[in-house]
Amino acid sequence: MSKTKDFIVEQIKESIGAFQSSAKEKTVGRVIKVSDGIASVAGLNTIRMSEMVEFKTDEGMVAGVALNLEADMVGIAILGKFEGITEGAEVTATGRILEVPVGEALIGRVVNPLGEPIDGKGAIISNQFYPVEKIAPGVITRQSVHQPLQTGVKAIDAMIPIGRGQRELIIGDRQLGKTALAIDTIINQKGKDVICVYVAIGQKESKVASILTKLEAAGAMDFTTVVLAGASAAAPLLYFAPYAGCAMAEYFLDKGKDVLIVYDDLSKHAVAYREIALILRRPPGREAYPGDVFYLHSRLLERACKLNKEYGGGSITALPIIETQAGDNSAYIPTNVISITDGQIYLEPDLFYQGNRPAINAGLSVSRVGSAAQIKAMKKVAGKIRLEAAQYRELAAFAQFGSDLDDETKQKLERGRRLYEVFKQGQYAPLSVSEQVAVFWSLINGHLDNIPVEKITQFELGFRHYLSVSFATVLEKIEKGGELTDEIVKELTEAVSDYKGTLDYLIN
Amino acid sequence: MALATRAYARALYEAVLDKKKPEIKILVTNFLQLLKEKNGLSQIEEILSRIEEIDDTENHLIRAEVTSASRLDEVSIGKLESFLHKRTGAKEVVWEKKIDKNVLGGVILKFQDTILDLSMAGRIEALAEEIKK
Repeated sequence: MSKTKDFIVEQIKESIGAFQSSAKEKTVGRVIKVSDGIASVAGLNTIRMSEMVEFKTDEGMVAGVALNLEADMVGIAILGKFEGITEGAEVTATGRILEVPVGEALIGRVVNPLGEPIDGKGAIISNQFYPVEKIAPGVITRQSVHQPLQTGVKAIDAMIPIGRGQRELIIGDRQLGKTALAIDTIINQKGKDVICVYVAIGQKESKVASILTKLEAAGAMDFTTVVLAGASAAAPLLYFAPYAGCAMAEYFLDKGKDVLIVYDDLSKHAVAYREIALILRRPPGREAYPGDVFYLHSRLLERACKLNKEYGGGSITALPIIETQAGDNSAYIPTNVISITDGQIYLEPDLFYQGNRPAINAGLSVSRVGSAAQIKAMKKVAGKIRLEAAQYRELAAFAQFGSDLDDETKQKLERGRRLYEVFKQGQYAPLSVSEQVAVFWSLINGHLDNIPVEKITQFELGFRHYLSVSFATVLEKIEKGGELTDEIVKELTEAVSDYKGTLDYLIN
Repeated sequence: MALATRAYARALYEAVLDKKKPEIKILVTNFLQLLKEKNGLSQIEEILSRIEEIDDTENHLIRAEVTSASRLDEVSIGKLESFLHKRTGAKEVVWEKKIDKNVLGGVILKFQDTILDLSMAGRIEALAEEIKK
């Protein structure tokens, strides 16, 4: 006991010895008005745009950021508890532009948009700070997307492939599995040397807690940072959350690493910004959003990029999420974000309730740059898959009326039914690219045609297990070489016929 | 609105500058008439304080507040004044002197939007913060 006391005394002595007193100069102002999350402050004549300030309250300092500079007044967004701030309270300028701590110390942690830990695992020790607002990398630093980012979801990796540095929107109504897709993608990055940042904007804390448990169980928290501005956080915190998350991602980008960042979701972000803008008396436009709501998202998503070799070769892949109301994807914010991103994954309620999960609408979903990033083996099978899916959709609508169909149509319909069955996939069960290639290859080559539709899921599961046990080398070859050589095709043919030989419903 | 008060104050100040008393009387009456027409009478107090501000800057005058534990002698005040001359370019300083035992030693200097804490109390507080870390 006395030893620790001595130690503490020594430490205090040391810090007193090193302490240098200097005259503290402060630029101050006084609060004249406080509204929800926004304070009007007189004074602070020398303050700069988006400079951090501190409010003096009875419960200690509360942070704030200058958003509006006017002739005799400064509009300040309060980043924290604004209940303690009184009229006339002293506001001190810090001289620093809004910044967050970044670095390796943030991996595996849950932080608020100011970078303060909220997971109860102790302080985050980091001496590096990045500005929250930053201009996106310019044209000479960039390179076109060419490496795949495997989501582990069959339907996405085959038809709507995503590349590193791409911005792919996930859009759909509530409760259709938008977050689930993003979380699956994060889980699938395990062992792929990708750092993940999950930004929860206005989400229920209970939902985030269950996501955290899932990520921890899957071992994904070893490479993931969660930035949380919950549903009860003030609008300014929601507003800064994605930019703060992006700043944390940019640290790894500058280290030449690949980063995946999920913004869940940007509709709530836009609503938070609308709230701030209206309190600041900025003129409202369509749907009462301020005029710069497009710039709000474009400047955020533009920060996702693939850098070329001279600039480190890192990338930030962004998966923004937008929640639509009753399938209305022509509302203001959805159309904005659709036009900003490099494609969208559209989730549909009808498909979801028919049991097709993930409920991805293959017709409306697109990826504008990702196909350049697919591995060769996948490219080979994916082309046919896309064609089969399109033909099936067309025929299925038409075939509802007539029972008299020719053999070719019948065969196409049967194939399509099996394809959609293969697209079904459970949550938190991402597949490696080699497994996907093997399954799709057997489908387009007709090996699944004589298996009953209701047995497809079971067959796929068994076939994958059989491959991993008896033909592990084939999977490895696909993973390593990335090509579907004649030798691999021969082995796959052997594998599928061998496995089919063990199925009693086929023998009988 | 805020700009309007500033503009009113600047206009009135420049109009009455170097004028004789009877002229000023007429000008002020006219100004009040104008304010009444423009529904601006409620701003009169703000305009007056603005005029004071303008007068201060035109005459290179600065208002500063100094808080100390005991009465300051002329030498210290002189030193502070020369600091303010250098810092702000003002030629004259109007002091508001406050005595506060809690300062312990040294002074706290306030001018414009700036607070300069040169007090013992402030240093002790900073040291306490450092130890807490």
